[in-house]
Amino acid sequence: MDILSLFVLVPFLTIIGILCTKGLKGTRVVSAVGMGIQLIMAFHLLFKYLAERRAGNIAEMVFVKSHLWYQSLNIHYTVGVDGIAVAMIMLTSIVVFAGVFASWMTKELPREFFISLIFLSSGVFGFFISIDLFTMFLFYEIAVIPMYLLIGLWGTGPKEYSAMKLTLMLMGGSALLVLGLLGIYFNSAPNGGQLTFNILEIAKVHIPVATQKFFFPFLFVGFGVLGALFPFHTWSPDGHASAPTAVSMLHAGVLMKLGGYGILRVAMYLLPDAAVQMGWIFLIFTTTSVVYGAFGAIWQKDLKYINAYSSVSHCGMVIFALLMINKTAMDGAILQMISHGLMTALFFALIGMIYGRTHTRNIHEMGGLMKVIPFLAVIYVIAGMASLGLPGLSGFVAEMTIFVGSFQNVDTFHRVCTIIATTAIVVTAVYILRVVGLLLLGPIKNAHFEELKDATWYEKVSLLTLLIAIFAVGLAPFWLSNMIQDSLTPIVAKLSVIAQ
Amino acid sequence: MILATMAALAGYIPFHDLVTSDGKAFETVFQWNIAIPVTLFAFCGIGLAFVMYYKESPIADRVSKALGGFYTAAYHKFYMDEVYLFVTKKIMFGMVSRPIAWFDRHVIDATMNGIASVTVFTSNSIKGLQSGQLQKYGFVFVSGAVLLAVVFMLLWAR
Repeated sequence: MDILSLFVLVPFLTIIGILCTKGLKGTRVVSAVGMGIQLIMAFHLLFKYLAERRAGNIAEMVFVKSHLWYQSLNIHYTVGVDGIAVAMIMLTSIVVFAGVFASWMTKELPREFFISLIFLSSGVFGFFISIDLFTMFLFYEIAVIPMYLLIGLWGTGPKEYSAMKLTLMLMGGSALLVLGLLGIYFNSAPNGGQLTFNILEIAKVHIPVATQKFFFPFLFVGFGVLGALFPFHTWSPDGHASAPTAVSMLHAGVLMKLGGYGILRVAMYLLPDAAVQMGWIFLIFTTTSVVYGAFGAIWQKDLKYINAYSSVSHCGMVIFALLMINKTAMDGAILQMISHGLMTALFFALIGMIYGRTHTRNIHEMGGLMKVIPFLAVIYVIAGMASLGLPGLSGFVAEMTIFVGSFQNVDTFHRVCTIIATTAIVVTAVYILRVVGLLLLGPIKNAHFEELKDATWYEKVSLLTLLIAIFAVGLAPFWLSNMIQDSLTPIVAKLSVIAQ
Repeated sequence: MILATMAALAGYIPFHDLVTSDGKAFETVFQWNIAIPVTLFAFCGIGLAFVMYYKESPIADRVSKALGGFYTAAYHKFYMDEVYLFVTKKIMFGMVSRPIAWFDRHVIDATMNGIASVTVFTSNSIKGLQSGQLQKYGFVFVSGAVLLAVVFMLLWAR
């Protein structure tokens, strides 16, 4: 068994382990051990990847393994990783591990809940290790579909409506993706020969520009729906508000990143001419996403809605940076995916913990929580500071890199887009500081709040796991940034040649 | 005293060596032509404050009356707090965020829900076609085939 396939196998073994246990305690322990092993494996992969590169391996993807799956359509189970994929696997492992501890007190159908959650994570891991478009899409669907059950069964509020809306909108995106992927497949051998789904092989051929321009919007919008691209973001606020804590964490923290990753790895890399020529159209949408999401967050009263709109803004920034088509901005985009993944997972974990105690998510009904739950409150403030880009935390590194990279484009259009997008930094500070003030400072608004208990040990494990990662990226970003930049080289080189 | 001592000495910490974006020290040149006038200006301010406020004196009142509106504006910190509240509350909250939140809920979200409603409406409208009557299915099938044949014949005739 190759090292990468273990990332799909371990979740399935964990699910089998859960099925063999009895009671809530056994389910929790098996889930935590399984995802703990997954986290250790992610660190092992990271060190092994860095060692491989230090040893002089300059291949675009390393640890590549391929098995023929369906001969007549030349479909392979092909896996491999570069620095970007390794970084995303690290992010997923951290968020899933934290998510298991954040769901520690799930009492309603706990076994089914943890099975669905871990099954979903296996899809995400599979997506990031795949370099065959068909396999990648298969894992994409595995990651998306369990969301319906997780929100519909374990959610709160109008959960059936939200689950249906989220699933249908994402499936709509999937339908566009199928068209785009098939378009690439049937044009993967323009000079004759066998058609292929293999990303590395397709990247070597030149698909006719007219064909690229026809299929690029399908792929961009298809992945963009999952990346909460304006105006296809409306599943996000309702979906996140109704989802249980760990599902919000995983969805906003990791699943939304599949959108940005797919746009980079598939839409832009395989259809580079179209990306360069049509990028400006989508840059307008992403700039809108960045500002629209931030302003949308200000007016919200529900903590989850605030974070959901904030995610629209931050994920918009990822796609915005990718469309800037230079190494610095694209490096910032990947850093932003990781930074936002950690931050938003931390936010959703905290919101779930606060809601579990106060039974409200309305910011106007809360106040003075710093006095009664200081641990949770301090972590909330740190998460907020990371979100608004305080130096020393991950958000600063990501946003700074994005805006420095974006400003490297000297033409007026890109400059104007960049200036508009930077206003989101100020707006983010407004809604973060407003929430911190209303939620945590001032007098305690409800007598019942004075009896609240601070974080439990399992909540602390969940929060500290994410917090350590946020500080690690914020204080020592160069190792991560260098790893990403090396892997961006072939992608940027391909796009830059066309852009010139 | 501890903080004052540290504040006085903080300028000697070589931040240009420590804070760097690319691992290299930031090159700085001491600009005497800027540093000297600015420092003198600061000392003038300290001297002026000493003359006006060290002992009770009518000079401060006379100066404030002489400056008129400028003094009032300076006293209110040039109305920065009011400007801040106007920008955040009236403009950002009231004139931008509120309309965006309304637009998102009543236009963008409503459009998506509208598409879903059209699907449900269409489904409801055509479900009657599934009557289970084979004669009806046969009639529709043959009618469609005849219609297509007529269309193609007309096109071919042109």
